[in-house]
Amino acid sequence: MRISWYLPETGLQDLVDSLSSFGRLAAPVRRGDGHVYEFVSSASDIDFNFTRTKLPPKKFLLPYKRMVGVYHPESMDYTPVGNEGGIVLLGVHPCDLHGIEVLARFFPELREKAFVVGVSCLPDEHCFCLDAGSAFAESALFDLFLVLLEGGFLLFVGSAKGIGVVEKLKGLIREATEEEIFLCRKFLEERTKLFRKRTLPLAGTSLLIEALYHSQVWEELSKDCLGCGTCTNVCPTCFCFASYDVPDIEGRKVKRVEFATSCQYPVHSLVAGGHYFRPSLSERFKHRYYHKLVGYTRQVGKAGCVGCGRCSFFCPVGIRMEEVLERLLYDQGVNHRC
Amino acid sequence: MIRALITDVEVLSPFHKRFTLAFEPLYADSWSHRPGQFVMLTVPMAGEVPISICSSPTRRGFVELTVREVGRKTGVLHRLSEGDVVGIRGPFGNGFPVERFKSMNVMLIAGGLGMAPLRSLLWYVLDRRELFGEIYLLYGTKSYQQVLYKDELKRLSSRKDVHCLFILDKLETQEDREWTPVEGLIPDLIDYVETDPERTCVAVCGPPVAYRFIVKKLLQRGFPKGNIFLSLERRMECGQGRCGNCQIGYKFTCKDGPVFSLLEEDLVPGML
Amino acid sequence: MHIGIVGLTGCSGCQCQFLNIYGGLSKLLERAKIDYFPLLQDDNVFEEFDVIFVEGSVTCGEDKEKLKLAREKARVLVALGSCACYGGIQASIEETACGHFCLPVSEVVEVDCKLPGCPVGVERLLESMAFLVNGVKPFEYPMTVCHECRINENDCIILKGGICQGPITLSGCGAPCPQMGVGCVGCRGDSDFPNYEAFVSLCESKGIPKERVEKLLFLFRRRR
Repeated sequence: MRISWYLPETGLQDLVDSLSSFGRLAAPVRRGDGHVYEFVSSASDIDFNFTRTKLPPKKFLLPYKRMVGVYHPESMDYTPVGNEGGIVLLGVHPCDLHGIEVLARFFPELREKAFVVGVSCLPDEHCFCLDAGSAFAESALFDLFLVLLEGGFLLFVGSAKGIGVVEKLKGLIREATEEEIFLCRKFLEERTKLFRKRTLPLAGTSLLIEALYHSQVWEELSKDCLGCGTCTNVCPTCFCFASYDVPDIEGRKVKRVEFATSCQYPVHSLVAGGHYFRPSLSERFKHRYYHKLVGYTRQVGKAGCVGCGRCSFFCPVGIRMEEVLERLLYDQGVNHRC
Repeated sequence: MIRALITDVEVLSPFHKRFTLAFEPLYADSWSHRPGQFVMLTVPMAGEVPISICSSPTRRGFVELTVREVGRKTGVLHRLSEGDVVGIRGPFGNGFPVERFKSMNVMLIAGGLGMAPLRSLLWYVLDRRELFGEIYLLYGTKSYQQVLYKDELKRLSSRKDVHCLFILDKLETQEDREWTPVEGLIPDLIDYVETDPERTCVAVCGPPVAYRFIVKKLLQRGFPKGNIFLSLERRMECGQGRCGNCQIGYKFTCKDGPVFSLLEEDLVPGML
Repeated sequence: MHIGIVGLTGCSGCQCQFLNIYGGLSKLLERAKIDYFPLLQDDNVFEEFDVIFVEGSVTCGEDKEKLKLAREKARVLVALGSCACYGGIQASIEETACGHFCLPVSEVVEVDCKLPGCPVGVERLLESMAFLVNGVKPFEYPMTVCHECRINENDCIILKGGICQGPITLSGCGAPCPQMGVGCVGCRGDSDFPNYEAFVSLCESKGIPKERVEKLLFLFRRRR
């Protein structure tokens, strides 16, 4: 049962404290020109005034570099490591909540690992979560969700674990009033109006990508791509990894390390003997779109693009996902503006 | 990861070795695989490599892997010898749909190291000989030097119940000419086979560049797409459909493959 | 295990990195003997080596001979640093009439392993040593500097309007320059199949003439 509660702004520290039993708490803090998720203990460090963090919360769920096991090279006794301890993610936007859900469909163990507290957001020109169907938290996994109101938060409960936290905060929080719920609805209405006016039929586009798989248009679209892999590194749903074993100098212990890789690097498709299965830039470029919009849907029943806009925002040459898709539609004579 | 003991190392060519592995009793009894499956082999200190199983599941109690020395990990593996210990995860992948082959003629088309996974299938069909029709083995390599399982294949050639056809890129040495009179690439070999395409299942494994030409030839000869099964190679880091490296279209080669029906080609772009 | 460290034409900075691995060095010395390291020790023997590290580029006949000898004596030869791997900054000078040449080690002898960087990173060096003393070639996985830069959550220099070669430069350094607000100069050389055209047009769109971009690009990279 989802119930809405009201938590005054001053109660944020109490919320932070009450979540500590689920693991270390990470929340958005300001760093450089943007925001990053970092471990915090004080509510005063948390800054909810952000559009998108530099890296998605996957940096804690599926760390970019992680030791997964240790073995002894002589006995080959292997011990898995690194899956201990939970984590609390406080301040996750709806798009990233959907991103976590997509990841959890590939890595079911993540569901147990994280306690997730969502937070409401406002879009900028790169956001297209509304088109991607991930603008609202309801259809994603979350334990608690905060809607920022003046002087406090409207707090929604999304899981049994979330109910437990609300119970603990009794005395501090109260059930939300009709007026507060009205304010929340109003906020969501206003938010929806802020999205770009053009709409992208993402589902239709995925069919197009299949149809256009062998088209020359990819060659042209990928011309400016530097192949730096930023788009996949900042993506909340990209999960590709590679692994290697590294011995210690004494030769007594070998660590197995997994690290995030990217389909944008040629090495991703390189096999022993030197054959590249995706040797050209356009094939690698196309593969990302194919996998995001067609592959994920077929593999786990949910598209891999949640419209967070990170790949567009951080691309050094300004390739924008939505423009590429619009261009594909345009080439097929579909007027996306209507 | 389970522990496996190297019980035998056989040099097959200057670049290829066959490793015979045995498990601890606990695992030896529970180990089974299908022809065409692979394992993730941990070479101590160096890391994990995906390797096809080249022994047939009809021969139990051990697993054989044929490995070409090609990089840093296989380089270390080639220095290992009898008595050394390695790690194994698996078996992974779907393997060949052997049920589908039953009471059909079976044609195996192997190029280079592609002979390794097909050897598993070859011995499976030979050990269950009564279930299948005619058996054709088409095997192409660069030169006689690179031919794998030389003695075994020579013995097979003299058997009446299996048709062995070999081809070499170029017939240069005396050895080459003694091995086969046919010079050219594997697709050329298909012309030598007299079989009813509708009644024949084909299993193909070769170097990545060869598939397109083999498939083209097979289709020309009238083999139905549904009868053609390809064992494909991709980069693999996990074997369990998690690492994402091995994707062909939306399929994970390690989990949904490595054996694909040619029928899937229309749905899965980038397969060949 | 016997190790040698040979210096050709270079600043010796990469050789000095052996001293910066601190604790790692003492562990290393438990398993290996450094037979030849004239930069740092008085008694040097040049006999058989399991691993030899060659720093610097080949710019004269003397370098060439030293290198060929090193190759003969070593089981594994490692090109240490960007000079040895690509020729280094000195290679960016156009060849002159007086017969000046500046070659990476790999153009004179066969190289088993390359550890680029200006200087080579301490962590990377230590990790490579761990591989080498255990008889395994160091792990290589060519990505771009952008990969590490994004993961460090730095602000992107290019998006801020600057010039950074991160997108087309080989990873492995941990992106320390962008972290300090300085664009990558490409000291680790090319990433796999770099898209020079796109990079040049990116720079041109920022008002930097093509000649200048090329000069920047080929400061460390080997011109093809």
